[in-house]
Amino acid sequence: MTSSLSDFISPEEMEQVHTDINDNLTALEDALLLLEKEPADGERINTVFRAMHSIKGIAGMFGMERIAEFTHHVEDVYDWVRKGRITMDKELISLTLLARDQIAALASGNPAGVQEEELQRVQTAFQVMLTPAAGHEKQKNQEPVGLSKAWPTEKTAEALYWVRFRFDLHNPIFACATSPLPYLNGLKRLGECQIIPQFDLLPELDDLDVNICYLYWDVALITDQSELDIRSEFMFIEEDLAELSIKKSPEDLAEGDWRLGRILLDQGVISPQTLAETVRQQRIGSHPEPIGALLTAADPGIAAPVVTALAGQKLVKSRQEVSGKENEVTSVRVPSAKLDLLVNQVGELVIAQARLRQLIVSMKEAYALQGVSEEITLLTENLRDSTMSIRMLPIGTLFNKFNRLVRDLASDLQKSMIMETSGGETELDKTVIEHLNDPLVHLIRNSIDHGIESPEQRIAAGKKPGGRIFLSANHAGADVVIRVSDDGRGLDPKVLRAKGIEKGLITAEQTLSPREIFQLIFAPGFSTKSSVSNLSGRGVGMDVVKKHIESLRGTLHIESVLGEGCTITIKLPLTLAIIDGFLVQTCEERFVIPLTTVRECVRLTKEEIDKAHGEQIINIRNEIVPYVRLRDLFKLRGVQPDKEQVVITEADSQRVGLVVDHVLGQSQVVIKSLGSVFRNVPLFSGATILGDGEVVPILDIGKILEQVTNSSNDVYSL
Amino acid sequence: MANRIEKTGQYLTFKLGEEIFGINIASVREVLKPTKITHIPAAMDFLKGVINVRGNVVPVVDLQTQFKLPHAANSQRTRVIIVESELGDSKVILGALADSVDEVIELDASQIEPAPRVGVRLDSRFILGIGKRDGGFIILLDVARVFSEEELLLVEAVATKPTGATGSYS
Repeated sequence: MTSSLSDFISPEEMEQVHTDINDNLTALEDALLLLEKEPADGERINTVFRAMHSIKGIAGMFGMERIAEFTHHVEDVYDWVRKGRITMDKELISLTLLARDQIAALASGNPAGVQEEELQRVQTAFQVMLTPAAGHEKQKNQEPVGLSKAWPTEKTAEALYWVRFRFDLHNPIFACATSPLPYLNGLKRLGECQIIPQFDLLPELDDLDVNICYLYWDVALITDQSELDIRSEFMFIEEDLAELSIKKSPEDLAEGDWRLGRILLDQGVISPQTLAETVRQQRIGSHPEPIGALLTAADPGIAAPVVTALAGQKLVKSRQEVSGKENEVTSVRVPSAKLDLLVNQVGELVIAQARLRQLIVSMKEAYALQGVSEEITLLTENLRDSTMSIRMLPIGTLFNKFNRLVRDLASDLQKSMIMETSGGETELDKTVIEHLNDPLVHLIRNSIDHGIESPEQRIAAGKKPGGRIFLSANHAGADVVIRVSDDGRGLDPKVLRAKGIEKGLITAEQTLSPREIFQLIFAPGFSTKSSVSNLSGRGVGMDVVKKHIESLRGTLHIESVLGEGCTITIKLPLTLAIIDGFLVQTCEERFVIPLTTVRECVRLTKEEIDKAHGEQIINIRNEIVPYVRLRDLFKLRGVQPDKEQVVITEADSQRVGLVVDHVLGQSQVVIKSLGSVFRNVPLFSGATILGDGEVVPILDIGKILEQVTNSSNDVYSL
Repeated sequence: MANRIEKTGQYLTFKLGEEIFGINIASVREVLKPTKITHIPAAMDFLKGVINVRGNVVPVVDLQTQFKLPHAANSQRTRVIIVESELGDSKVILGALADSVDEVIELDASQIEPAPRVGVRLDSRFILGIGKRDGGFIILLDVARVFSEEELLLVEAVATKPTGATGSYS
């Protein structure tokens, strides 16, 4: 290492340098993966060039000679690509991805990660491309780059369309159960829109024919679909039932003139003279009124078109804002440790504030105090929400990382793969996303390795040769649901069953439902692949994945249709630390039931008990729900009251009633871990500290359900 | 399993029943008056429950149950000694019930003898050594062993009744 600037730089600055380099490497990788699908994308090629240029610059400045030298060659090659002297092809992309890895290894400063030979090879490969005789300059066949056939993307640029949609006023459409909604929804699917209903054709009540649709709709729609596509939404009704007018706005979405006057002029609602007149009028007054108001005052008949035009304007403006925002992301880098500290402190504040509130509530005549207490409660809750949201990141950041993984894996295994994602904007807590990385990597590997068949097998099975992995994420109640789907060969219950018997996990006599058979995959040591590939199948996988997910208090399920594919669903709670709790009491002990699991609360009457003839079940609106008394479950001592309460809870689509002596109410609780000492008491997912300072355990409904259904014949042994 | 004998050190002495015990103060975080202990049902019997220590949930161990010693009645002098122990590569904070807590004393190597194999009710693997002072004996506990994960789980494994599905929830 030559003595250079790097000797004079502080560790913090070096860290910043590394961060900058890594950011560039990420942008580089993303651009390269996109280039595989669309090799002619000039914008992306520029991105690659710029990234290399930046890295070279940074490296040069801070004495990282090797990196600077290496990137120099790559940068030169891409300069030629930019100028059209070298064409992009799959080979170049693969090589550049390798180069990226090499730069990352060099930058990490970890000598073990750098393979000098590989480095030389890649560097030479780039250098060769620059020699005139290399032959890379000649036009190569434009093979579809990318591991699947290139999609025919015929996207036109986005534009704003004005659509007016009106049913025939002489046709009693409602009598035939025709409805405008599906058509309006169809428009919504094409892009963003503003729908403005027009009421001017509504007659007086006495003259109203209920079967006629007097309403019509003006829609401002921003879409990249063509006019033909829009018209095709109304295919079934356009001929005789409805009138449709579609007008495309000539203005460019980003750069066009979207003033109200212009819009109305384009639509033919006002004449140029009217507009000029009104503008003059506007300039006269000391307080310029909005054009829309002036126009409507002058001619009330155009009130409706003005409203529509304003809606369209709003749509365009919000679209411009969004794309503007995408370019300038203002963010601040904060060390995670500081964030964690903040979250902990807020957690403690929530606990202390709850205690304070409890004390104040019990004070008489303390109205002033109670007022302030309410305010502080609100402020604390807002603070908590804000802090939690700081830690929330969109899961898309994780999904994007997998693009590279899928590509590499598929190419190693000589399978053809695409990865699609949906719901990337779904936000999760930062630590949860970090913990999800490994399990998801494993699931994807599994899918590609075991699930997706080779192209030949797929064609033989009548499928498209390219396999598809679909990652999706969405919020469902208080959980986040993440799905990993593939359209591969699916799981064969027979094969799994045989393997289960072979491994001694089940006996031959046992009959299991398909769902139970699929669960066998999560048993330690289970693997059905006969030859172990070096990617997966070592048998350490799925049970570790399950444990990982469970440590995040999540659940994991598999569904599969033989021959069609497999879907793995992961459900995770949104907030790690704070939940809404339902407080109950039995004997002298109190417990918290997570409110998200509580469905309802009923009294357990003597009649109900008698009706069940010794079985512990209760009839809720003709559904049979089993119940268990907490005093039995936990062997609590105390007199059983005559009137007991049943809290009906649900987990995994199954219900169980928990019988308690008293229901105390609901409150927000901060979850505290019980600690590894209580690891073998699975019925509790944690504990919390209530307002009075006492520790109360939180019940894990899923585990209680398991116990109740599994050992329904045993005495509840633990 | 040779007992490690610490050299000169300071030990907090406390009583369980009639016996006097000591633990190295490096492991002691604080001593508290007992607050309400929330019993966690279905935990091992020597885990008396958990308490709230400034917003943290801390498990409380009843050493007398764990060591199978006779219990004294709960008196005014009962205390909870909050102990810090290394479990694997992470630190664990636990509370231990004591009938009374006495004082911090200094013992040097000459005052500590290895634990005798017989004659002491307590399993010798928990004992660092026997301290001698003022004619009396102080049983010095090896905190790491007493509160080690293996220890706690070992007890549990013995206590688990053989049912059809062991480990079905872990």
